[in-house]
Amino acid sequence: MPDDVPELVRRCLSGDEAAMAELIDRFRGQVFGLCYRMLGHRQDAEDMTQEAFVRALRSLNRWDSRREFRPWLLAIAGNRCRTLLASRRKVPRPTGEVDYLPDARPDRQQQLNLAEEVRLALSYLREEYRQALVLFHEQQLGYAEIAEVLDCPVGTVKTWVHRARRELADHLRRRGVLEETDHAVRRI
Amino acid sequence: MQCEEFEVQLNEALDRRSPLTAVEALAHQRACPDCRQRASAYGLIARELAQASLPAAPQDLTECVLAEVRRPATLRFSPRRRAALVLAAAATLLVAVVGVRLMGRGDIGPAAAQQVAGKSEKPVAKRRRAPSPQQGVNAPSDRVAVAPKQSEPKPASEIVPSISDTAALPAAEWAQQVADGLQPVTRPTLGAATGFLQVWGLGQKRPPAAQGPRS
Repeated sequence: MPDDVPELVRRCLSGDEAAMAELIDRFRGQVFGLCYRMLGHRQDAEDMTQEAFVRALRSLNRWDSRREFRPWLLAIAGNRCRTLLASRRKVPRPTGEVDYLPDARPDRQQQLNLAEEVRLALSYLREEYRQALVLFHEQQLGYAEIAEVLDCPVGTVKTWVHRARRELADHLRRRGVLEETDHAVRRI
Repeated sequence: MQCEEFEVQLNEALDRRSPLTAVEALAHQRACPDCRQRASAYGLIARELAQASLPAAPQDLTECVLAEVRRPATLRFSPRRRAALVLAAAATLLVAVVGVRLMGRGDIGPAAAQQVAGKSEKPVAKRRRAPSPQQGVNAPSDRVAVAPKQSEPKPASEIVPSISDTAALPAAEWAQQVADGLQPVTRPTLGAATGFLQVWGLGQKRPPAAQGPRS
């Protein structure tokens, strides 16, 4: 965490818009990345990113300056995404996601897009698993920080990350991705 | 080493963000195709996520957020909550009207309760009786008579003419009589309910020159 975040927050609380803009610019990538991974939809991610920042700026006085700012902010973003996902469950899943079937195309090797396969596999994970895994690997947060974001014990976060890895790996294996890439991925 | 133990060590290595170095685990990985594939998959996932090229946040994010923050907080309700509020207001209005009517008629009590529940026909018969001159003053349940004089209580038969008494009247005229009889008690209630709906149910924006319900 940058050391001057508490000072930035103090300026924000005094109504300094330049400080607000600086705070947004500093964390926009991480907040948007989390929202995008959680929602898998760009427009929704943009909306939730904006909502998260608005909420955070309006409730900055509730942030405890003795704690890290980033987990606090990401927790707000995560909550917004969960709320949206909960409302999404009431409507059919959006199209654009590939059916969960093995891909047996002969030209599979040429068209293999690992990033896309991982993104697809992520979309099948439970929300908690996906969020924990993304926070750990993509946002590079530690388990303690993730626990703060998700408001649950560290042990639970570890379990979620481990299960997410396993489910993701199983999905990739069923999709035939691992056979294609095994020769290229020999070590961790 | 068993496969389960291998997976535990593999996860621990990834949790430390460091490569798997335990000799025993590496030996197992070489010997076990499933675990080798698992290790490959976990490594692939970690690498892909760490190097993921996500779309950039929108350029106008900062401006949009600041514009939203500048805007004063207003009451915003979802359509479902708005519908619930309107229903609640309607129910409150109904209860208020029925209650005031019963009070005006002096029918409060078990019999009135039965009447409201639709379990007794007697109150209907009572309603048909023409009021005696004393009934308006000395009736045992004449509670409204003690109320401020500004709205003189009317006997029930004046407020709601029974259908049998007015069978000969055209429907519109009968409805007008009912409305005239109810006006003194319904007007303030309706006014209050309308104000409530304007502020809460339809309250996307605050009414001018009012602080709104959040005081």
